[in-house]
Amino acid sequence: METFHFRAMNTDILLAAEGTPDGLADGFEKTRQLVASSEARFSRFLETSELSALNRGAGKWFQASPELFTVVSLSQQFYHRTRGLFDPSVLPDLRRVGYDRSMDLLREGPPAPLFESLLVVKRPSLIEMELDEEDQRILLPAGMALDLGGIAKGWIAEQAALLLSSYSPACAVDAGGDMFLIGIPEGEEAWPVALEDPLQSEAILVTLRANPGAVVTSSVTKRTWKQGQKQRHHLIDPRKGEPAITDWLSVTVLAAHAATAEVFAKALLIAGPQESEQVRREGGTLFSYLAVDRERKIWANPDAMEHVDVSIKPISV
Amino acid sequence: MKSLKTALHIWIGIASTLSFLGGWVMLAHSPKPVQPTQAQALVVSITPLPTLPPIQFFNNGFANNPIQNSIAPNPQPNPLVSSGVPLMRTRGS
Repeated sequence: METFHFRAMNTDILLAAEGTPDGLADGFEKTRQLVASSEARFSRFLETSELSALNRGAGKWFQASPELFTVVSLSQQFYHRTRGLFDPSVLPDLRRVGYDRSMDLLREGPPAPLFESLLVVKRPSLIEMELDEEDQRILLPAGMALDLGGIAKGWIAEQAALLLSSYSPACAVDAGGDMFLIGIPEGEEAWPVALEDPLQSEAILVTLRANPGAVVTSSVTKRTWKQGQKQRHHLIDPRKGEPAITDWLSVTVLAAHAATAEVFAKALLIAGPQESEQVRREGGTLFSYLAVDRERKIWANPDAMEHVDVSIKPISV
Repeated sequence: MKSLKTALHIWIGIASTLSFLGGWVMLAHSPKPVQPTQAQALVVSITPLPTLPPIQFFNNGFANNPIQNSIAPNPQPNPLVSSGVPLMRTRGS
């Protein structure tokens, strides 16, 4: 299997595909270009992105590209299906708690000032956003700004994998741990996917046997920063407008589509053990999930058990 | 204007005095707190607390059997399985 690495969306991207180096070179390059152009469209950190233009135009109708309209429309559907636990309109709260620039810049610079977190501003509800499906226009109410970071990353990984699959029957796109898998590698029964320890990034907790589809993990230990003396993370609980306080450190979801996996990984992590099964039942879609708690115990719903390989295969470096 | 201010001062003074006296009377007639004896206090301190039931994480009872991480973590940055398929890592974002 051939692999191709590059950096985009503030993360490491891995493409893997069965085939010959010559036969895959064009596929890898076209996939890289797709990821780069999608990042330019969906990044909230680029002033020139289409998403930034949409946010600046809040209060009036915005003519969206098919790609942006699709992801915004999906976001609205998932907002309802998670009863608001997934909410892309938390961007003002994300900025308020210090996540106002890319993670690379945030880690390089001084801690964000704590006083900003006190300036709570009431933001409009996502219910007030209007979509014109016929003309693909979006109306954000004044004061609303969207962050499509997670769901867009998942959606891009899936689109990239679909493009790569025209060059290879078995291929995968891993976008910083959010992955989409197509086909099954020759000689394998499933894709081996290692579940990383959320507290020790070089360690693996278990290996999953993943079928074609999406595997996405959401964690409160990866994108972290300091605001004053307070430790912050990027997962905002929309009900409180603050970084979520949760018993779980990470949730991994296996689903047919990457956007679904991305959204429910986030929603389940915010919901925590007490509400997670209700969120899954009411989600209106099939998926499996595993959660890692603060003692590194792994919790899983029965479907997910089928994917857990407790006898890790021998591996050679 | 001056007479209005004087009247306001008098009214505030009378209202404050009456409120204070009313509160005094209410407290004077309220039941006194019972001082527990030493024996009573001991009984209270040794009463066992009821045991809370375990949290039901999942309806099917799976909570009683979580997958424990009994496997030693495998600290390898980008290992490959023997067939050459890269072992991808899902790590959260």
